[in-house]
Amino acid sequence: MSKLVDDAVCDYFSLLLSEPVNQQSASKNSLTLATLNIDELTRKTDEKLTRQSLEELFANSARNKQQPEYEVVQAIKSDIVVASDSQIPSEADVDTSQINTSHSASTSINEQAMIVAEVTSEKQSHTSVSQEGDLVSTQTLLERLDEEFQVLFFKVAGLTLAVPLVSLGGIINLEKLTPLIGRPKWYMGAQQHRGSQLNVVDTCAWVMPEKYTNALAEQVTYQYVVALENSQWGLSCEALVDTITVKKSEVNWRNHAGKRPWLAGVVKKQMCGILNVDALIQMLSAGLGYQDTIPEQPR
Amino acid sequence: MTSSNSVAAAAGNNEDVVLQWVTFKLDNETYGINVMQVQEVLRYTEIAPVPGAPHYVLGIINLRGNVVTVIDTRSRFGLASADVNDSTRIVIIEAEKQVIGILVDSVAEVVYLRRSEIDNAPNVGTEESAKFIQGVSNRDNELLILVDLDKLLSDEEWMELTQI
Repeated sequence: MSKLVDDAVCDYFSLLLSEPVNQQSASKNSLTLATLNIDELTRKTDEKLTRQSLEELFANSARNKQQPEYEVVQAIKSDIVVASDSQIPSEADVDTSQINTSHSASTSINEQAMIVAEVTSEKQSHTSVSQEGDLVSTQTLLERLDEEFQVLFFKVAGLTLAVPLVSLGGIINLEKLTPLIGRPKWYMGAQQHRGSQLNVVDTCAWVMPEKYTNALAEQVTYQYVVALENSQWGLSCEALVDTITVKKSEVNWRNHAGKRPWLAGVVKKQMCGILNVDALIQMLSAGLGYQDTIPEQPR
Repeated sequence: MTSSNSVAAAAGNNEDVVLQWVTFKLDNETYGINVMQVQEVLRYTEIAPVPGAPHYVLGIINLRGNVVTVIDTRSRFGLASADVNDSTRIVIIEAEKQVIGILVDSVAEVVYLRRSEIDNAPNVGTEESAKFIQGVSNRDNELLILVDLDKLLSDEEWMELTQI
């Protein structure tokens, strides 16, 4: 199963690298003309911008590729189109939006590729989560989840992330934030929520700080806060995509904390990271960055 | 107001004391300091710079014959500097057995907060200014940031002030 995921990911990016410009159009009947134009321009720009990094990322990928899983490809492309569409307020802004969207989408693809690459490289036996060295909190998450469970997909700077609903504390409109002095760049501020304070994280700054340039920061328009369980932490996001039911077997679970303990795995079909909310809360509360490791806890 | 800063909030709950905080504004955010540490609030008066003083010291003022060092609060909090205007105040405080002044954008009011109404600030951030915040509290749909004046300066810096 995990090999199939490797292949699917590899095929997706291979297709992205080699796909002729006029090949994709079938599933976008409902989109507006402006969106189609943006989508096409986005795709063209993405091909240019991501070609080099993706070639590097997948230089050593398996050679025995199967036919591309068109459904996976379309799903990811649709995500990009949704992001593009949401960022275009009117036709008058199309030119600017095209540039912005291209940047954002290419960033998200790179980041998504990084997440997927890490997951695929670290996994050895994705179902044997009880091995020595497993993330305790990942195991805890798996124990909490039914065989089928619901996840919420949300977007930030074109990157799609998933959070299991059992770990979702709520979704709140982003309102007035009170910045606190001396906090890291990723700490946006505290927002009042139900008579208490909710610490809002600049998700993009935390998840991909190396790509979070001032230019990208200006493009990101956060609208919601995804509250994490019962904690006082919430992730800012630009858009809520969907809630779907997935099976445990449809997630490529990570066996090791690796560089991203907050990442529980990858939802195979959507090819997006699923959050290990417990670990994420631990990390945020400790002021850790996205690649820091959680200090080991006595077993 | 009672003779002491805190009063028992309820007969059945002696722990939940009420504390008074003087609130001031800095960069459009509201901060609170323990009223017991506030001696007085002055309108802005000319601050005489002191050559060779630490960067966080704006200078000194003459307060009824006493020399008081004024701290650049904005700089200390990592905020951009701002022009002095009619609302600018110098709050004279006592901390670490020293009397100093802190320059603020404006002084608002004295508020009463139960201890239970004070939340911990997230313990993240390695910058020194992160230590200044001892808690936050929701009040009138606004977050009040409570400042620990004793931690405004390090031990060495408090010592340094005595030698200005």
